[in-house]
Amino acid sequence: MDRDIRVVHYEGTGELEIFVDGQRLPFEQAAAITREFTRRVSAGIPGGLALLSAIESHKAGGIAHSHVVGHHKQEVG
Amino acid sequence: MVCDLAVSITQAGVTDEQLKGLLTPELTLAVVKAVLADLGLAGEPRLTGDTVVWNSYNSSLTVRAGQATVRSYVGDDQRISAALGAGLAQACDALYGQQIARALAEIAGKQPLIQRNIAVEKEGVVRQATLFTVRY
Repeated sequence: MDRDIRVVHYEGTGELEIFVDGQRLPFEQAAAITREFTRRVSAGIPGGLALLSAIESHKAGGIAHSHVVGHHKQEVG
Repeated sequence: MVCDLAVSITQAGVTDEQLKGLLTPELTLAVVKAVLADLGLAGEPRLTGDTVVWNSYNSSLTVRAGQATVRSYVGDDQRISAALGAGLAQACDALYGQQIARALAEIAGKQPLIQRNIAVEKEGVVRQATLFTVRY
């Protein structure tokens, strides 16, 4: 089954609102994911992998069944 | 001889470390050029190392790592620094949006990344935002 991520980027603030599989993440989780994403990108991790892994590490239950390798997804679960 | 000119100094800049990290010196130079042109101020800003420098007859500024310092002998510092602060914040925000879009495009792979501008009302305040949707 496809999974989906929706991200709302509010202009002028850097604030993100994140929905994973239709579930809106609480503000604190979204803020933590935003910080983690930026930290990982700054460390040289590709953006897609950085975002997915940041979501995985902060979202209860995580997104444990897929990961991004470069521009291609790879199902592992 | 007594100098009767008083210099006033104002500082402005991007405070968010995440956003500040996106500003390169070259991009900062482009923002400063655009802001000065908008304000109708003459003189060409230049890049010295990682610092943008601009001087005119009665005002000057430096911008480094997202922080601007404006000096003026004619009280123009607040106007310039306010415009610079807004310009730098706008540039950071656009870069951040691009970073998010690239990340989601990577996740999407061959699937389309849907992007649209929306207005979100929260507690009576309408805010402009971009909605990205990706299935993978």
